[in-house]
Amino acid sequence: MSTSPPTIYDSFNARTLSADQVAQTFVPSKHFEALCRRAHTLVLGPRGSGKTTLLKMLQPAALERWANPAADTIVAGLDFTGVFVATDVSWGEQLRALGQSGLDEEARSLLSIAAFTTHALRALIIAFEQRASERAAGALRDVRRIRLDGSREAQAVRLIAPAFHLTGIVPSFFGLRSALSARLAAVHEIASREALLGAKGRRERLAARPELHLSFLPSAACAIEAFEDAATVCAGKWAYLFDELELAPNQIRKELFSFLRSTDERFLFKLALNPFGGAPEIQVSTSAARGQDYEQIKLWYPERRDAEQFCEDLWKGIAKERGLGELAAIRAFGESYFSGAEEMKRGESPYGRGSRWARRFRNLGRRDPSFGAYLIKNGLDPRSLDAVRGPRRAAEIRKIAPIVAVREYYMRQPEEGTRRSRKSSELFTGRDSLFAVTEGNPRWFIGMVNGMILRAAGPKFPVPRHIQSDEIRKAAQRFAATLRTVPYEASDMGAQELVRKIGLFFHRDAASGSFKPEPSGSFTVDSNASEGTLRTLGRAMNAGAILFVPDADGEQLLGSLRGKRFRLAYLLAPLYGFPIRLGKTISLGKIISSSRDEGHIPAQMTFAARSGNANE
Amino acid sequence: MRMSRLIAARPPDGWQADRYALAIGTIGYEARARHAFETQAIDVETRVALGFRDQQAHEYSHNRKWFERNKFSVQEPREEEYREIIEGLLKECALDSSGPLRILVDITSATRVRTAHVVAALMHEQRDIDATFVYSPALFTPPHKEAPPNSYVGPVLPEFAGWWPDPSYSTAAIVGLGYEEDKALGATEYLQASEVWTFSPISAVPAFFDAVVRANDTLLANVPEEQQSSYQLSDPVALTATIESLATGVCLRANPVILPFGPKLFALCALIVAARHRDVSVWRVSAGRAEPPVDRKPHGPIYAMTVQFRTVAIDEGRGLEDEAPE
Repeated sequence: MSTSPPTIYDSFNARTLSADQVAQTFVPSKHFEALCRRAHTLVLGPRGSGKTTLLKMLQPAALERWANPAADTIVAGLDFTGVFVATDVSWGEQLRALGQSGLDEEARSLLSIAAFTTHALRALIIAFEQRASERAAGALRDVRRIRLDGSREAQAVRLIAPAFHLTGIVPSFFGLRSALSARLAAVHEIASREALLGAKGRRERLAARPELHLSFLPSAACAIEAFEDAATVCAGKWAYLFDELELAPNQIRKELFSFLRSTDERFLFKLALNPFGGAPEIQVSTSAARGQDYEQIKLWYPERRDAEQFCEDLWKGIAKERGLGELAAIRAFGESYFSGAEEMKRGESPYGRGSRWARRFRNLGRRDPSFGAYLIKNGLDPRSLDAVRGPRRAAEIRKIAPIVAVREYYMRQPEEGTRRSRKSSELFTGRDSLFAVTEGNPRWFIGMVNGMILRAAGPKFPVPRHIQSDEIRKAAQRFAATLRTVPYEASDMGAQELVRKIGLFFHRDAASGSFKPEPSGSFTVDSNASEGTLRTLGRAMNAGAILFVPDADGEQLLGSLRGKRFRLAYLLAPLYGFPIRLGKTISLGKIISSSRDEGHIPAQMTFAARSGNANE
Repeated sequence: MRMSRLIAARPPDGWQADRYALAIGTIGYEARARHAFETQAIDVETRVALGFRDQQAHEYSHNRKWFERNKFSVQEPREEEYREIIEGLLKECALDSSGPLRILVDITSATRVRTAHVVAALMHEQRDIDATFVYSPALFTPPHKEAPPNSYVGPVLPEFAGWWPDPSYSTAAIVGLGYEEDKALGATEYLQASEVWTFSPISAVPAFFDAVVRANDTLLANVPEEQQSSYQLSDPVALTATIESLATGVCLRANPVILPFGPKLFALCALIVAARHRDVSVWRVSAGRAEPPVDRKPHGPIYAMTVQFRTVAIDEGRGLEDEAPE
């Protein structure tokens, strides 16, 4: 078992990893298969949903080192070269800040586009370098590799440099890349100088710099042509992979969306975006139509079961990497609180007399008069749940069982007091619940599971419940802290506040008041929801706290959120204590108005409810 | 040859005995807002105290009256006017002064944005300036029970956004820790930092350190011990040097963003580092006006740092850092 201790900061952010490092643990999914298709693609997903990983895996350097049974087949089907263009929130802020205090909008736009174009062209040169380099140690196959001796490389660079308005450079790809890095630095310097020089004569000064006016696609096309000519290879396809595109300057984004109807067949565009607000141009534009011009991949799983296979595959990859061989997830994490598998293993009915389920039904019936009445009304006896006749009634019991478990768990809380409060995440431990709580979000999954394995000394499997519980709680706490950080407009509700209202509503609907066999677990945005509410919802979606649940396969997310159905991320369930299920749908307006009288908040949820108190 | 601005932090030896052309105070709602000027007999030619148009709570009116009584020119500018006022004050001083202009700035009750405006204005000035910044730490007060949501997360000012030589590098967060629960954690997660370095303040009030550690336990549990350090609030020059050394080292593999929570002195040090290095960014995470005002009393000591701003002609080929002013 590996003992290298990855911290949360160095292990599950693909941005940190080189292409070959990403490949080492990459687990293919249906999303990746879709992304590999020869088509323009919009990849929509909240933070941490694996957008960067997917895009990075399309680079030749990653594909060459990818050791997966499916790798050869998938790689053989790929006929394009991936060019990865990284962006992140700090770079986005820098582009926005460029000359902000002293430049007019026109100059700022010109300079930020010039910076982004330079960055994207530099990424193309890096792709050239990858394809023309010697086969790297550890590479399992060649992917779009070419042979290019020094003179032919110089020949290509001599054609590319003037097209990029570069002079006096070393005639190599390295020289080109260095010159583009220098240009990137120069753009900032130009912005600073222009801010000091003032508006007089600015248009002329900027117009006199041709490097600031490069057009991205023709420049890239010209470079590719020179590269392929020098390598004496046929014209191939190139896929530009733009990560976190919502952070790019508006003009660039508009241009890239217009490329989705590209007539230049050499190029594919695979654009990764937040689920909400990242592509407003597409919503209003008829220039590119989904299905005809581009495909759309949604990196979230509306139903918990949808993510199960991906989590299982992720686990297999982690187990292998950690030297745990073929250790099954069920052995590593045990059965969930809601499972009846242990009784079944003993050849007993999970609902039989003396079973955990029977005890929960009985206990709840004693504590909760409304549930007691429900049992009587429906002719259910906790001592003989397994004796009910007919598949329909058995299905009813299975359906209400998780609600009974959650309700019984939280109703026990006042008697057992705060001793249980630190253990509240225990309700969500075990393989099935752990998978559901991670949402198939690679960053969450890898972070939580790595933390558990490292702490399970021995190794001791299944990982003790208190360790699972602790790691889940910490992940939820990190997530809540991120939600608190997401900035909001002063007139809007904060994302964390909205999520808290919804989470506590779902908790109360399931765990207090009269027993409901199907409490609410999802919500619909009212047709008259305010713009402020929609903005907050959007921010929560982009952070991964709220997930779109399409009612029909293929229902589009782009466009208005009104009338659409959503649920909370199950990672929030340990904080607010709601069942991990879609349940009934309720209007968001009703949730918000009812939250004005929140009433009792169980001790388990004090962390979530207090929202940032250092004194407790 | 071109003109460039060089910046260096120096110990403020005998700062109380110096003569200043300009002193800038801040009229805040905290009792400590006037502590430095109230307890030190400082020889100043022009005294200015800049207040706020909102949150005139707690000690605000007392502070305002005190500054007025003590011959400070009092103004309550809108936030968008603040920079212009600072630049105007510097220019006025420049007309009458020869040699390095000496100014005194109390950052105790200034917002991080206002402190950043002062540093930016000093960066853009042409003449040589010695700016002594002073800070009065507070007695311990517990943090707010309810943390309001943030209305702003980003560079403290556009001038401090930094500029990455390679935007594809990952982000390293250099965090001055405060005692608001999980605020630093949220910010590092928001930035998706690949590595985190933390600085915990040590002052004569141990309760702060304990509260900082408690409020950041989840973050600290995930930061390797060798990336956690503490700093003496009493020695901002050393802190500036440490942050600078770390930031320049981190730059080799990541893009550093400094998150200055905790004492405002940390924010000042971060701004000075960013003023010297274009590839360092300083951010703020703020609830703005939603942040409830708290009256913080002065603990007693006053910590200071002098920052020298010089304009020099340099060879294009030589590095700026090699030419720190003496």
